[in-house]
Amino acid sequence: MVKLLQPFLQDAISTMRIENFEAFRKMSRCSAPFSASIQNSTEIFTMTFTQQEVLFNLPGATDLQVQLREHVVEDLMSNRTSLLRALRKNEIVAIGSIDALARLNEAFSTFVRGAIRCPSLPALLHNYQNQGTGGSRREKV
Amino acid sequence: MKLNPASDPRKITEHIQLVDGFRNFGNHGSHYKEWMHFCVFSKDVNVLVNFSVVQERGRLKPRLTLLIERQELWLGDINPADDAIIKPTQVQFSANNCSLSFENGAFHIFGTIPEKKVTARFRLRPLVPPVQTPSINAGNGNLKWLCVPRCAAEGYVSIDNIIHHFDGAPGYHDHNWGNFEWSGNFSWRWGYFTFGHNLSVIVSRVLDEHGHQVISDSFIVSQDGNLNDFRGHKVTHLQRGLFQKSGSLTVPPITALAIKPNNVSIAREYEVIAADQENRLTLTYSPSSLATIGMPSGERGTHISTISELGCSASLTGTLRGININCTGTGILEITGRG
Repeated sequence: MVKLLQPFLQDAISTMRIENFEAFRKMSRCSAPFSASIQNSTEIFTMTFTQQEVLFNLPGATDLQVQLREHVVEDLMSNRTSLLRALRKNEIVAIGSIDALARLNEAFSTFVRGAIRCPSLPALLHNYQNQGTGGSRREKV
Repeated sequence: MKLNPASDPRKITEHIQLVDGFRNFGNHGSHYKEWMHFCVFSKDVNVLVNFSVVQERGRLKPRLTLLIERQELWLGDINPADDAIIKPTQVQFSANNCSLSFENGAFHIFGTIPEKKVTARFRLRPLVPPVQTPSINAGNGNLKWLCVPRCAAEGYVSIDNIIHHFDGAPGYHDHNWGNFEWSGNFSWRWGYFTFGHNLSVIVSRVLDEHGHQVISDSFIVSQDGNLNDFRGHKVTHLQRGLFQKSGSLTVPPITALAIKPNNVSIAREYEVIAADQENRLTLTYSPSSLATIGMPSGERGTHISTISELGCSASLTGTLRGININCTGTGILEITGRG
């Protein structure tokens, strides 16, 4: 079973909105208006950042298209690779303007900084990282 | 200033029991933090174990940090110790994955991070009494600390089921507590350096958050049970070049996604001169390995602070109490920064 990124991101962003609204608002404001499509081996979805919220799968063109190689998200979460290294090795391919890439990077960094404070995040990460493994390894933040 | 040592083990034990217990948690106030920090330096590995409690969302959250430096690479992680039982006024921290106590004249330390296959279990016997230092103005609060500049360690660390023993290895302990936020207007550069079995140096420099204004300087030398403490204008700092290291460890791993690369300026070489009318010592140290600890600063928002732990080679030259000193050693340098 393949790990599904979109449900994890939706849950994590909803959690951050409840448990760390200050970070959620900062993430929305620093990137909006902005949209990106995310594609991995099993999913294609879009994220649209507005001043108030993050919406998934709105129709229409996006500012940035991001393609993720298998395992790159897990490698990033466990610090086996960095964003820069993943981009250089084409494990992440981003198509769009430099401005759009900078906005996504800022939104992503703000998301991580906000999410790691959320008491519910360890359980969400645990669920994401153990999708399809049947294992019980527990990551913490 | 020369401090009066009390190298009698019984007196050292009584002194530790008197001053080094965990503080009273019933009265800790906001932004409270407290940690007990231990280092051991052996031929093959250097070990850092930290038992901490931080007030988060109205409750104290205990954690274990276990970092091991081997061949200029750091291993380890930070893990919660949510089941920890901590006895106020005593050196006692007991959880499933770690424990700390002070019994029979020694600290008894255990910590394990099974996911990273690292375990440390050792006894650390203080050879000199604790040194109590003035509290540090940490921006919006105060940080108090005391340290035991010289200890002897017996025990082992296990890395990937390979055991590294130490028997009489030099070690160090400090205890820090206070109400402050990591995002406050302060930063520090702190280091512990050991030279053979008789000599060690602790250097502490506290600055404003940008590193422009010095708040306090301290240089403590422990030699054969004697302590010399240099402060303020008796301590001069110089630095040269830029340290760059790829492949460093970041813990917790996910914080690497939020910490800007090269967030802290680290020099290739540091030189610290401590001098008074009778003594003059020059400590030189060069970082060779880096582990970064990422810490959310505050319960909400997005601010992250970092502590960079750097393995170092060191040399100490000069004159202390009329004796010429010229020796090489090893140590750990710690630098705080903004993520």
